[in-house]
Amino acid sequence: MSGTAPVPETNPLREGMESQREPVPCTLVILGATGDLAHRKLFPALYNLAYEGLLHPDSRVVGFSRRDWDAEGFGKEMRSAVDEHSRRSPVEPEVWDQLTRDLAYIAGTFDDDAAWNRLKEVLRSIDETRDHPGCHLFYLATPPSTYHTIVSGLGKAGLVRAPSETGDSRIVVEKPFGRDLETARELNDALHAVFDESQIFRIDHYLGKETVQNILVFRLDNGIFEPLWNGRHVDHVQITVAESVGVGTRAGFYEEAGALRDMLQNHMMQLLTLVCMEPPVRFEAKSVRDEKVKVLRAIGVPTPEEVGRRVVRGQYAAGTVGGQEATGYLQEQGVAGDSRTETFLAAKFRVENWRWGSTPFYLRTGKRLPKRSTEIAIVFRTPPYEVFEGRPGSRARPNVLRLRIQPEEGISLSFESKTPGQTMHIEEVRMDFSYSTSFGEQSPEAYERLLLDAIQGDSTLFAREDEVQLSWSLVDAIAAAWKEHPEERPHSYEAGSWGPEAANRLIEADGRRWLSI
Amino acid sequence: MTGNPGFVRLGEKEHRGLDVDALKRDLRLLWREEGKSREHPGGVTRACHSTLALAVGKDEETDDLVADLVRLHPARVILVRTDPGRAAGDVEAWVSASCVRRPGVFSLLCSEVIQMAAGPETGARVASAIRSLCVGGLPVAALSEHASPRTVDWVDRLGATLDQVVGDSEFLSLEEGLRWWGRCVDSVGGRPEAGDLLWVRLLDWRRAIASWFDHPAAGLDPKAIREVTVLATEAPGGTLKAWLLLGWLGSRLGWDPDSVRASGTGFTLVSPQGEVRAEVVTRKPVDEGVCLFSVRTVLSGTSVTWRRNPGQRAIVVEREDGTPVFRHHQAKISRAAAVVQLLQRLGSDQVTAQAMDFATRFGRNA
Repeated sequence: MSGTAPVPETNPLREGMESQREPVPCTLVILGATGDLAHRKLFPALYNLAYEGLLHPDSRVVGFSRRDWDAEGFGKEMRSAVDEHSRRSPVEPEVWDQLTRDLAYIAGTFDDDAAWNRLKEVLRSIDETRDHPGCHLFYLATPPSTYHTIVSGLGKAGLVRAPSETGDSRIVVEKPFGRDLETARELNDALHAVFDESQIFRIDHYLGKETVQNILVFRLDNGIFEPLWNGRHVDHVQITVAESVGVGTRAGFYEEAGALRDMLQNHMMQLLTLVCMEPPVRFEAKSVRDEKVKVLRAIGVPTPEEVGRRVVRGQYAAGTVGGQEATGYLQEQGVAGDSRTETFLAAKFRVENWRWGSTPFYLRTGKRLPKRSTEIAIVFRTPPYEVFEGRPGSRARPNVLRLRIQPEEGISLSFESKTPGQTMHIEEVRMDFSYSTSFGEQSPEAYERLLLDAIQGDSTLFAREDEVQLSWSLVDAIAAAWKEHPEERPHSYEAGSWGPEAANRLIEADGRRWLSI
Repeated sequence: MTGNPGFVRLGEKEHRGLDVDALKRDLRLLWREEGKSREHPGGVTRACHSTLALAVGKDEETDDLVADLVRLHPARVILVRTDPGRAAGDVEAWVSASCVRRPGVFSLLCSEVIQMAAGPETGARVASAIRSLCVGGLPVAALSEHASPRTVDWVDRLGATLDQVVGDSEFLSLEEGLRWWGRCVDSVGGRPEAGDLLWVRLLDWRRAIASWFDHPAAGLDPKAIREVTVLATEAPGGTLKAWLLLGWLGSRLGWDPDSVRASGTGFTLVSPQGEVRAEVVTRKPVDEGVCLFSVRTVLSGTSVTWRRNPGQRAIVVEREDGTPVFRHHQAKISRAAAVVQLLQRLGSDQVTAQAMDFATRFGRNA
């Protein structure tokens, strides 16, 4: 089709629509297509995006994995994943047909040049079927040990197009991004040898959660909270990421990672930076990520002495969780009998900047805690003078704003109230906002939002190189300090408790206590 | 009964004359009883995002609509059934709750439903009762299932009590529809704001058309459109949808709705790039609920057609030679989901207002 009129920079017919531009046609190459992540998260997310018309009709899916399948077998696997895990069922045949049109599968290992060449051929033939090249999105749904091989394979086969060329190539990298600063740098170097930073999407699925995205909306789109969002009004902040499950089948990974690398380096630092960051100039990738990086710089790197005082590690022993007996960590399958891997971590951080200089941040995370819960509690300072001192129920209780990330997503604010009756009796009450009761509909899965953003090239909700490296600096300093005292074991805590006593002492030394969850 | 999975209706209370205090007492009683009931070991949660006053006909089946609405948008629903068979001035009312059991959530999530069966000449009483039954501090919206809210007396009487009025021009005559759009346009930035479900249903077509011009390969500027032919069902909803689509195109592309002149079976208008020809062609309905069949545009020496084929939930984009180029899947949108989309956009929407304004002026001038 030929046109004589110049194509406009902006499309006037797009005005007023949610999406300012339709997603470009994208070929999504899932590396590790037969794995658990693809099965439970990626295929259902892709289907839901297709269902909502958010994928370009010319988008295609290509699987790449070791298993000796063909496109038909791959299609069956995709279908069973969607049937099992999609939030929409039953599957709509028309959507399914479109999503799986020209489905392709490459069986091969990541060090096999011939397999990469087959992929290249498949991508070339897909590109030829459409008028415009669109994007190639390579999704690493594989163990981190394969990342270098895959990136090098993509590079050697000439599969990566520079961002300036028509039709972009992008890569989505799952956490962990390395296991320390050095390996994170090595990974970044390997990625940068082939991709530009703007083409790299480091995914932390926490950032795809509605409630995590809502932290910034809540802070910055409500006039009443941001004026109070500083050390003058906030006494301290508690961030809890609690899991009731044990290490399960992940012992191999977890023995290497521990709570420090599995939770603190990524999810918890993301929550901390979103709570602490200054308002960005605009809600776009560079502004948001610049502000998050400033927070990480303000936290700095603790000295070994500070680690000793401010970080507590624990390891669960046998106990009872949710009425079920639970074995201790050392008795779990795949765990070394003398393992010192921490399954619990509590830490006190300071964000040394003008806004937060006087406010400590207490973080705790652990496995085999009484319940699964992720919550940020902003604990406000108590009034400077107690007018009701001595009255029944009156005590200097702070107002607490809780941002519940999961489950029972919502926000609550506690405050003092007079109870009905003749006396001035005061009680703490709670105002509560719940996502499920207010918005009814099921939220999209985190992976849906993040996949769509990656397809559209929006990296706002992905981690940048410097962000990842700064958080590794912090984590490395803690790990190094622990390494200096190999004789020290993590504090033991009973499965089903809220962690070791030492974690309580950490916060109680400051005259505070962990809030009940 | 409703086909909504997980839907539970709780404790319908006594039907009584319109007595707001008694209805409120019944609601309190309902929650006290259901809260203690052993049938709900996970408890019941009363949820409310707004007050929705819903005008329906005497025998209309509303269980599905209400269940779907409160699943998407928990609210206090006030369902007013117009019943011409009742004595003038007679209103009967009762309360119940529509609940949904969510996967993974132990508690039943419930919305209050107050039903009224209203005879003729009850507009003032119904409006007064709704004013008393609105949940304080939350938005209040009125919606009319099958008619413009203009035709429902109590809606107009509620006046500024309402934040939003939702109508559906798909069920109106052309003349009524143009009047309704005029009201929608006038309401922007005012109170209550008026919204049209037909506009929500037009989104698939708008997206399909807009997205074609996103692609560099198309190499086309929508401002170069010289001719548009919309093929619609001959039912009123089809014509109105076609006009609204033209209104959207015209308003976005800078056409002058006051320049309209009859030209053969269609009309011509003046655009910044010259003259544009527009035509709405109607034919007998094929698929139930399908209003538009195709939109054909001529521009830059070629033509592009967006077509919905019978029995398919997709809009196909075709080149001049009929070759299909793209398929846009049409996401299913229930009536309740369309209502909720309008409710969630309480702010002014200039694009909607401009499209309706264009369609109204174009319609009147034509």
